[in-house]
Amino acid sequence: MTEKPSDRGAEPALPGRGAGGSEPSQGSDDNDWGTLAAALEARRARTDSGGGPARLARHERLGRLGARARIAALVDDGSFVELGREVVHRAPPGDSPALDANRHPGDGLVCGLARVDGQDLAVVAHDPTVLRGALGHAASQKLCRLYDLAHRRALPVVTLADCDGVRVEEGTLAIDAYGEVIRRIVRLRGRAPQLTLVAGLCVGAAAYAAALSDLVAMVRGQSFLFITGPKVTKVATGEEVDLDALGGPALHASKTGACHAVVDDERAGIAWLRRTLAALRSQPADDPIDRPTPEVAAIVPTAERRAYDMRKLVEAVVDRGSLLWVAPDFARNLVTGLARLGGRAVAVVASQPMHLAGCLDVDASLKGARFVRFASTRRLPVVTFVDVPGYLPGRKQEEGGILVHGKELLDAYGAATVPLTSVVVRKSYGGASVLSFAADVRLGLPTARVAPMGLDATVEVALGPPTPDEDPAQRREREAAFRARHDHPFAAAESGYLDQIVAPADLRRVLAATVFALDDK
Amino acid sequence: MTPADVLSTLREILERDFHIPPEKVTPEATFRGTLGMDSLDVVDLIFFLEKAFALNAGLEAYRELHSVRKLCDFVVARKSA
Repeated sequence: MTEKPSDRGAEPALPGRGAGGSEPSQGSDDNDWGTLAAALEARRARTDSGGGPARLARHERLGRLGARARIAALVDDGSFVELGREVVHRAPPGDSPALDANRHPGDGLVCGLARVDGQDLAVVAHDPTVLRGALGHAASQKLCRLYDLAHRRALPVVTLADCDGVRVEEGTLAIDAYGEVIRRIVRLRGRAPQLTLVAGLCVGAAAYAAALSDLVAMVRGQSFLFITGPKVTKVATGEEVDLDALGGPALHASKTGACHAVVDDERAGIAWLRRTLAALRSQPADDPIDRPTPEVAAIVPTAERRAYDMRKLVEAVVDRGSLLWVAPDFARNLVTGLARLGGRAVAVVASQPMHLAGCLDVDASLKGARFVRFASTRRLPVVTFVDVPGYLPGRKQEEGGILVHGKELLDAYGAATVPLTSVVVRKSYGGASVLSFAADVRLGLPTARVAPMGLDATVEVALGPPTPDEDPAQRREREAAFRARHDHPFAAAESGYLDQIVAPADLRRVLAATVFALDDK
Repeated sequence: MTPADVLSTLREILERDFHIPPEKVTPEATFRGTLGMDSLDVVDLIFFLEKAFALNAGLEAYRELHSVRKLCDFVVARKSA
C-alpha cells in the first residue's frame, strides 16, 4: 500500500515565554498549567495512535493489535517505562514524501523497560502503522539505548516484531544505526535471553535480528520472515513467489528451524512469550520429586525396533505441566523442550524413535547444537534422553554436510558448562552416542544398549564374516555367546559407561536427584 | 450471490483500506499490476475479504487469483459450495 498522508490531529498551542524571552513571573496569570495539560493530553493521544487513528483502525480491522496494545497485553500493568516516546526522525523536509508524511512521535518504534509476571525485562514493539515499522536512525538509537540498559542489567529482551526492515528512505544513516543495534543484539547473546514474536512482517535486517534471538514464534497467516521480499526477488531473479512460500510460519517451523513455535493469533503468541519466560526460571514444584513413574515401562517397548513416542516418556518424568516443546516441527527426530525437574528449570533433548527411527541427521544436529548452546548460556542443566541407532546414512546426508553440521552437536555438548545428564532409554549406537557420552552422569533403563554400532553389525565385525568351512551350529553358538556378553544393559554399566541402571518407576526420582547433585558444578 | 455482488464489496474494501478508487477496480484489473498492490497488501486484502464473506480458505487457496474477475468467481464458487 502506498503510504498516504497521516491523519494526525492538530495540537493546542503551547504557552510560550513570549517574544524576547522575558523572565518567568510568579504571577498567577502566567501559571498556565491548564494549557500545558491539554497539550500534553493531545500529544499523548497522538503518540499513542502511532501512524494516526485511521491507520491504527485499519490495522485493528485486520484483527491485529497495535504496537502499544501488544506491549500492554504482555507486560504487568503499570510496569512499562518507555524510552524515547516522542522521538521523531530528523530527515530534512523534502528529502522524501514518505518521510515528510510520517514524522510521528516515537518514530515507528515503542520500547522500554517493563516486568512480565514480576520479571524485569526490556520490551520492543515495531509500529506497523508508521512506514510498516521500517527502522530509521532515530528509532535505532532508541533501540541501542535499550540494549545497553539490558546488557548492563542482564535483562531479557522481548521483541514484538512487525518491521519492514531498515528504512530505505534514510539511506546509510539508517543502515549505520541498525548496524549498531545488531552489534548490541550479538553482544547480549549469552548474557540474557532474547525472545521474538514475529507479529507481522519481519524483513531484511529485522529478520536477522529475529534469527539472532534465542527463541522465535510466528503467527499463522500473519507472520512473514525473510531477508528479501517478493518484489526484490522478482526483480533480481525473475522468480514469482508469495509471502507465505518465501517466509511463512510453516516454512520456518518445519524447514529452516528459524521458528520455534507457531501460534494461531497474537494473543496466543503473547501467551507463548509469557510461558517461555516462565519456563526459563526455576520455581517451587507441586509435583513430588519422588513421584514414581511406572508409566515409563508402558511407554518404552523392550523390543529394540518397535517405535514409541519419546515425548510421552519426557512428559511422564518432568514436573507435571512444566514442559514446553521448542521447535516441535523441525527435525522431528530430535525433540527439544524446556521443563522443570523438582522445580529446577532444565533443558530437555531427546531422540524421537517415531521419526527416522531417532537417527541423527543434519537438521537434528543443528537443532540440538543450537539448543544445547542456548541452555548452556542460560545455565539450564541439560537432560538428554537417548534412543539413537546412529547417524542417518547416505549420500544425501554426506553432501548435506553431516560432517560439518554433526560436529556442531559434538562441539555444543563438549563445550557446555552446565550439568549434563543422559538417560539411555534403549539404543546409543555409534557416533550418535554423543547424545549420551558427553554427559557428566549417564543413566540407563533396563532396556539400554550401548555399542559402537548396531548389535548385528557388531557381531559381524567382532567375529568376522562366516567362512565356508565354519560349522553353522558353532557359528550360532559363538554369536549367541557374544550377544549374551554384550546384549544387556549391565554390559555398558560394567564397562563404566552407564553409571546406573534405573528401574522405570524410579526414573523421575533418580534423574531429579542427579540434576540437583550436579547443579552449580 | 453473484460476481457483481463480490465486486461491489471488493471495491468498498479497496477504497476504504487501500485508498484505491473504485473506478480502477474492473474485472480485468490485476492486484499486483493494475491496482499497484504489493504482496503484503494482498495478504491484508485476503483477510478483509474472508472476514466480509465469512470464508476460511487460507492464503494458499488464493495463490493463483491474480485478477479481480478470478477473485470474484472464486468467492462465488466458495459461497455456493
